[in-house]
Amino acid sequence: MNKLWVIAFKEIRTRFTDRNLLLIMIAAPLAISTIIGLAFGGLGRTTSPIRDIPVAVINNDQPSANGTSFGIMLADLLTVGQLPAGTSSTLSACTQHPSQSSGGTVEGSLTLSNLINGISFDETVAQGLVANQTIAAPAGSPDSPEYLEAAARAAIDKGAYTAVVIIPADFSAALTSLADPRQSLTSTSIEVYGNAGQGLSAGIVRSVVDSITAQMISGNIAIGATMKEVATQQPALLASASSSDISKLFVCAFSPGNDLIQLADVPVQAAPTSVAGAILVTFGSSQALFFALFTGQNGILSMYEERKNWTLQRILISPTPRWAILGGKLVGVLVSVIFQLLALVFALTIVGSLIEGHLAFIWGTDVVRLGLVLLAVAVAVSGLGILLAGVLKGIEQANIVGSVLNIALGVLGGAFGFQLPRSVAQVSLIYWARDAFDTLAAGRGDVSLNILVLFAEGIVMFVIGLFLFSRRFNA
Amino acid sequence: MDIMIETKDLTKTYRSNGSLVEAVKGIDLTVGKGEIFSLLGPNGAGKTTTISMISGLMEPTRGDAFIGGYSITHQPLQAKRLLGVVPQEIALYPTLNARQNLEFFGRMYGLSGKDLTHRVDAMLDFVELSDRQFDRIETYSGGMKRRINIAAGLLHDPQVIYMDEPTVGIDPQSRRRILDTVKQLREQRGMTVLYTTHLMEEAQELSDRVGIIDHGEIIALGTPGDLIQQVGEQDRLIFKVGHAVVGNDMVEKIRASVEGVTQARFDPPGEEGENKTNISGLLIINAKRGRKALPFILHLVEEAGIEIESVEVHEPDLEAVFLHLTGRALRD
Repeated sequence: MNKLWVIAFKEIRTRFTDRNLLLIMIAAPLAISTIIGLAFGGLGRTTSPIRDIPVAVINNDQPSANGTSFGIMLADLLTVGQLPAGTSSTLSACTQHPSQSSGGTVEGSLTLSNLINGISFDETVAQGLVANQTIAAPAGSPDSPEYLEAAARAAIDKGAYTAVVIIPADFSAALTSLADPRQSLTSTSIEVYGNAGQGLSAGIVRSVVDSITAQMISGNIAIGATMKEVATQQPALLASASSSDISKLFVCAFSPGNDLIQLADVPVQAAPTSVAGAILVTFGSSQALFFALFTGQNGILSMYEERKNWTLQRILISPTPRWAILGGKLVGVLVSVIFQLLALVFALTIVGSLIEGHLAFIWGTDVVRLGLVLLAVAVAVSGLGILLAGVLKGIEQANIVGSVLNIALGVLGGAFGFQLPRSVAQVSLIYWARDAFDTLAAGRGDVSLNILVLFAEGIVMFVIGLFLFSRRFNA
Repeated sequence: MDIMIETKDLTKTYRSNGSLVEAVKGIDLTVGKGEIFSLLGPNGAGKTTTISMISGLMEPTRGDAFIGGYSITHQPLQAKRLLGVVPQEIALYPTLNARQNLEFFGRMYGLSGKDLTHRVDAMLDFVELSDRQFDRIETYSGGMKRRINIAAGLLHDPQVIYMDEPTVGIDPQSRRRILDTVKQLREQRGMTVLYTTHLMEEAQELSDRVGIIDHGEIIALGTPGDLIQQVGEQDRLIFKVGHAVVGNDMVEKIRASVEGVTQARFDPPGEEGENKTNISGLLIINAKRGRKALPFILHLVEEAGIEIESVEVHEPDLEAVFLHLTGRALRD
């Protein structure tokens, strides 16, 4: 066992004393991510060049039976950045957290919702666009929802808007059904149409809508659970409650500063919600993962190089068991990949902090889960490396096929700045890892599936690759 | 004499393009303790395969090899402890310094702590590179790398050392130093040395015994003197003829008509082999009492209108033995 660690240590030492390798492992992804971070984040600026993204908001929502309209809340948050005037007065009834701002206005540091310049897309706006010939007049009656939606989509095509958010008619009904145990659950969906040519901006819009609606849903689920408990314990109390009482509870659930749920202040909760941070995490993690693929593969495939240079034979001739040689190599690669990712995480945190002008935990604060994701990535990357070493013949073939495969995984997983449909992207381990980093950075802790997928992929590839490689190694 | 290396019916066959190829054909060989034994053979003769099986890199198809009495197939760890290897390649990690390299390979042989430190210091002294021990290998000259390469093989104080062309690609001064090192290993430490080289003068200078391998078989075995005797103490005459072509009929005429000539051949210009310059054609003749045969050959060649640029007369050596036995130069 001792020799396994000696070989693993040697592996790490040779890797981290090779300047060319360090250039590929750390300098290249760091440089690419920093350049992108600076380009989009702006060094030393507290504002981002990506802001005021034009978004058309079509609110088809019909208020629920108790008169509450979540559609208006969402539309107002997207268009004026605060809750409707009517609800603001009720916020005083809610418990305020001393550290948080009062009222419903989104304030404070740059948040993702600040980036959006939402416009209520109604008949007047649509007809204005038709009148000034920005778009052709859609078919149908101008006061019909179909007309508005067609006009908004046409406006996106013409570049007048980056995205259109369509709030469905049953939005309030669906949310109310979550919170009120007396109603059956209904589902609905908000449609977000994005301009394909402005993937990043459209992505931000989706994130904003997603985070707000997630907040509404979780608030309603929490209230629903409470109400259900009340219905069980005190059915008479629930029966006597008026619709307006429930409505107030709903409002409290979305009010900023409320202990139970925070919406306005933290649309993306507990997150480093700066654009620079988000971009650094997305691009930084993508680049780190893309280059980690090369590290993992090169680490395993260096066995071929060692055979060519005769250092492998020199070890084989020594009284060292083969399992220790192979095991040492694998441990060395695993640790190298983790070191590489850790170095990039630290370096990009520094870059992000420099851009922000203050210490910014761009990767989120959940260190345990972050560590687990890093470990899972290292296992997946090493697994892929040994699978390639087992399947491919010789270093030349491995280098070519490995590079092509890595680029393909990068493209699929969104490492090059554009996103493929999720169902396609999920083929790539980069997607799962990047998604985990984004999720942790956004303060949403549930990355269990990502970790599971990465570990499973890594272990399966590892076992198959180890079997094939051992057979060749012993030949 | 104690036997340190022994092979019994050592055989290796492998499949190539659907047919079985016997790379090594049942070699029986013994090398005694403290002996310097050179294994010579042209490329593809089975030399590397034989050495690979002896050192445990390759499993024999049949037979076995023993190092200090330990079977390399059944007691590999014990056998490997007695064996050190100095490969032809610089089998070192270029980004690590000399000390780090030696410490790593020392640990592979189970050395640790003070013992490891002591052995590394001793080896750095032995190859006279203590002052450069903390420099990366990639900054060393070719000769210095070769010396560290040797030190790595000797680190665990093996009883048998296999050296595969340790003087390839280095300057004469470094080469001299390495040859002296090999002699020291035998004289001061009683080490058994298994040596391979393409340089016959090296083999002749160092070896107690020489084995010549061709087509997977040992075709000659003995001291350099014995082997030279085997070829009948022939001289070798080399005529450089520029771009002239010596036809087969002329070569045959020389062989048949000049007394003492046993072999004659012509290497045209541009061909690899003994004709290192690749500029002039070479007429190569093996003859008993070559100096006596020389004027007759010169007469025949000039009579044929071939202009001779120069003539070399070589006394019998291992090169001639090898040529005689294999029909090829060692570098072929």
